Amino acid sequence: MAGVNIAGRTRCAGVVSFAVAALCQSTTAFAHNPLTSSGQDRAAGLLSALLLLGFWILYVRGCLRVSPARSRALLFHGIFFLCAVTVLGPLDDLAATSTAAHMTQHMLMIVVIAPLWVMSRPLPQISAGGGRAGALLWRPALRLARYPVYAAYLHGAVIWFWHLPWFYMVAVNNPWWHSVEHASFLLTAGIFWWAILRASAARFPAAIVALLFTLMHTGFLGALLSLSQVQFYGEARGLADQQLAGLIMWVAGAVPYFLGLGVLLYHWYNRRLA
Amino acid sequence: MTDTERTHRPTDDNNAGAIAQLQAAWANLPGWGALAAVNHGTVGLRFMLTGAVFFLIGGVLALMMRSQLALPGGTVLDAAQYNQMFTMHGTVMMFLFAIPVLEGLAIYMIPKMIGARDLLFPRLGAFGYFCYLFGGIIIIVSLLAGVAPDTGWFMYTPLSSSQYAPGPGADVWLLGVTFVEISALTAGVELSVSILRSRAPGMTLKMMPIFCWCILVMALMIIFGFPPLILASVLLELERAAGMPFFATSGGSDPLLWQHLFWLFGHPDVYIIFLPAVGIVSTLIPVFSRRPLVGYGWVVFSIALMGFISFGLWMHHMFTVGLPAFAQAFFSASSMLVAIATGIQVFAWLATLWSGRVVFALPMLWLCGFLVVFVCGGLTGVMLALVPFNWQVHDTHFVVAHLHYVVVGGMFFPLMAGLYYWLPLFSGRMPSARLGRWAFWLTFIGFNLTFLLMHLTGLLGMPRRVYTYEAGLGWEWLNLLSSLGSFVMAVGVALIVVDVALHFRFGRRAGHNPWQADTLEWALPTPPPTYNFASIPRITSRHPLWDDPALPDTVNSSTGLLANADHGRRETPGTDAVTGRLQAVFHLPTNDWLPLLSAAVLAGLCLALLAGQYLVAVAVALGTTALLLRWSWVNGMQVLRWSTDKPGPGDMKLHAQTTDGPGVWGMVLTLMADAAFYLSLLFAWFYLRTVSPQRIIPEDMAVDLWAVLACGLLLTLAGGVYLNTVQRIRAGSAVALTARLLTVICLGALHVIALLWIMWASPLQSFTLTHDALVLFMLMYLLFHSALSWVVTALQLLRVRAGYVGTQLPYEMVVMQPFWLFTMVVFWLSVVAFFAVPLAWPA
Repeated sequence: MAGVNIAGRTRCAGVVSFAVAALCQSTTAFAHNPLTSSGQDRAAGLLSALLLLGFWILYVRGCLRVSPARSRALLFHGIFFLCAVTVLGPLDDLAATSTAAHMTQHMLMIVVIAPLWVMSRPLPQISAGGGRAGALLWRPALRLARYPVYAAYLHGAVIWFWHLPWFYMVAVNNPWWHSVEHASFLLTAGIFWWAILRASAARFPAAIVALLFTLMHTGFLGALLSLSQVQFYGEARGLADQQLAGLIMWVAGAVPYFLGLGVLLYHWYNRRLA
Repeated sequence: MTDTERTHRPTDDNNAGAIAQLQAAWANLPGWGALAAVNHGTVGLRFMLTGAVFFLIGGVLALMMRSQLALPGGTVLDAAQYNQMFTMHGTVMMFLFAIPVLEGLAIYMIPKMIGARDLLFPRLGAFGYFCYLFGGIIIIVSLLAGVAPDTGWFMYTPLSSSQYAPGPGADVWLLGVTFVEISALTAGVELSVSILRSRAPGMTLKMMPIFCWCILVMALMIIFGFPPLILASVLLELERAAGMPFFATSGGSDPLLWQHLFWLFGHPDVYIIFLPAVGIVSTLIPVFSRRPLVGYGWVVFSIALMGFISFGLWMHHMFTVGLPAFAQAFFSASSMLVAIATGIQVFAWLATLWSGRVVFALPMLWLCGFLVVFVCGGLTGVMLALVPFNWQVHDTHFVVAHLHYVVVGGMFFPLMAGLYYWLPLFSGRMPSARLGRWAFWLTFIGFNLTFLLMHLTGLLGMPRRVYTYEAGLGWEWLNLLSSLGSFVMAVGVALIVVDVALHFRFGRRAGHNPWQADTLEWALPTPPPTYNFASIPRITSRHPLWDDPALPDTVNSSTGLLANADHGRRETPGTDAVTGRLQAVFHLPTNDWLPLLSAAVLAGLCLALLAGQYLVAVAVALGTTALLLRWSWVNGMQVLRWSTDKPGPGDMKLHAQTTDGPGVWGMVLTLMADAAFYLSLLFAWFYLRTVSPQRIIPEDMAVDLWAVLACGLLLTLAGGVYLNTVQRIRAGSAVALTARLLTVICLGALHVIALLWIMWASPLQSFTLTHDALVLFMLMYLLFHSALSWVVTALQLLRVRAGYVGTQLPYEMVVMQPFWLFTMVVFWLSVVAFFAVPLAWPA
């Protein structure tokens, strides 16, 4: 299965170098850039950057052993780049004071980055790059991803947890908890979308239920934020801003779930209903 | 000889014998016994006939309104009467005509289209019909008694609260409409399970007729869309009757909460009405174009898309109440987007017509009318989705014109097309082409005269729901012509009634498949026998009658699947939801008086509540519960009777011997409706805490958290033992079944007592604070579920002793398993939402 040929390795190396170059060029635009912030912010930013980098190196290592299709590699690198910019870039800075920007950042993570990452099919590379130690980490996650509804419950619980005002403000004020928040979003979203987009034919009904459930409860939360006359997250954040955030979660956020539903139904229709 | 025998003759004595046995098993009781009929043909026809009667009543109300508005300063009705008129017209048309008539059509048609003998919950359907009939009678009688509801068909608070609507009218609406909604929910559950599990073998989802897809999506929408209204109605009735302030600002609530809950139901409601009509159009157009529908997959996709999106558009009915500006913008955009889904279907129809050879029979006339009228209505809908324009014409006759274009154009015209199309199937005769054409043109011209001008009337500023207007505002000619048009339309409708009534006697005999259609129902004799198919067909194509002209002979002979009925049972095949593979034989109930009795007792409960006789109501409620429990007991007796019979043909098991029958599916779908009800309650709770402008949140929760946790522990233990028992019985082990069930019952009893004690002893101020009223309602909801779980488990213990439940008959326990799980989940979710979240969310 792992056809490691010269052409593949060259291709992979080429993409990698391009990605590294792009990343370096843009570090100057990063706000929570470990190079420019200070104190706790800097330490937490450094940790996030290191974790992301580590994961990316894992993939690249796997690329050298099992070369991926070019489109998939490009998608993976592109998404990773977007992830780095989202987590460490100017959006993060805006998110400190604007609820709507914060919501955009999180929505990018859970409904753009996570599903596209799943669609880049990184499993052969990650398993090749991670070795046995890596397997200890991603095997349990994959096992959970066999149960779309449980993955949806976990993802939903994490989303609602971090929206409770008390915990939200903890994350806003403490950069370490903020990193934990981002990690939990990315992880649970990744498992959820893996469960949905990699559902076996027998799991299609469960995946559809999980998608609908997630669509419903995120819409519910978004509706509360949109309609509320109360500022949940402190006096400093404007009400209009919060309402916009709610609408982003509800209406804009519904689009990826509908698209996912469309993809699932299309595959189900063609594969099983014939 | 009857018509049935005339259109197909048995070829030999065996055939005739088998047919006679089928007829005997499926016959209605003679005389008054027909009231105990549960088969789908009878129940469907009853729905449609009753709906037609209510339509005519609603039409008369409209004519009275138009008579009043024909001249300025009209004296036909005074203000109070006019208020009752427009409220009743809307209520009757929306709740007593539109949905029931389409439900009735679905109930009648679906088994015939999917190749089944009956729907899967016949007594539930019959029960739904009688609830509809009695609820409708209560509502109409209130009109005759002069105490009809008069606060609009949407009953906005605070106008509909006891302070501003002190009479019994609003209670009639709240109790009567909720009673009628039972019929919608029963139809929703029954139709979705039947479409998914009882199609003819070989009919995959991809081969299902579009009408069945539409009904499936409609049924699922009913399951999720009706509970918000049921919750809102229950809360408002509690506010009116008991003084618990759910919508009153005095308690800290917001009258807008009612509007949110109502339109959460209301917008899906119009799509629930629209989808079956769309299904009729998608059925008829291919037949009259002599070619299959263009873009089957696209049409299915757009039906599903419409179903989902429609749940997210409700705020476009509330643009003028003070929603945040961003929200208005987003809902404006999404409301326009839903037109895309409708557009896909319109273009599919146009493509089919364009590429086919069109036959302009009478149903096609109505379909052309539909296309014109509905598209116009859709366009004015897009106009109304523009917020600034909406603000100008809100509450004017422009909106009245729009809604009639979409409802009459989008539902009534297709319904008439379907009526003329399927009339030969039902009666064996054709209606009169000339009368039919006159009826169409009079209706079409009259309708447009009435409502086209009304757009202008609204743009000129005439408000809705006002009983008269002054002269000199430029509205006189418009109103006069509209009123004239309404009477022209009435003549057209009258001609339809006359045509249908006369054709039974004077209509030309239709012969077999007069329209040369492709769907299964035309393989049947006309009129169809109660059992539909003598032999269940095996389906291999999307257009069975076009691809297999010999099919009618096959299904009417006694050589095929389930043709044998010497056991006297009513049977239909049970198939896989997706692939249509034959899995089991579903045995169905025969004539039964329980549906009628249960509905009658419920009607008594409704009347007792209306009269304010609460002690009587409690007694009647206990009676209803006893009847319903008796029903479930009798259900099981049939199971026993037949489970010991030999299995079905080809070693097919009877479903009671399996763990995957209709009951499980029905239970899960009903629980989804229950979940929608609960989620609406959570919506109200969070709304109170975050949106309500004058909210009052007490410092401390009046209910003790530790007591609740202890109560929950008891429930989890009881439920855990039950679920474990079910697991064991599925694996074939019935060890200590009695002891286990006894444990569940004891723990459950302790839990219910604890819950009652919590409700009694907590210092809740449920009659002054909305916060506490919601908490008390939540506790009552939990109590209902816990108590029901406990009672049914106690009954199951008795049934184990009686031998109705065991390893050979695991079915009942498997059916109750989701209910116990639901009870536990809802309990702990309530703990999180009502206790934990407020701790992390200071007021």
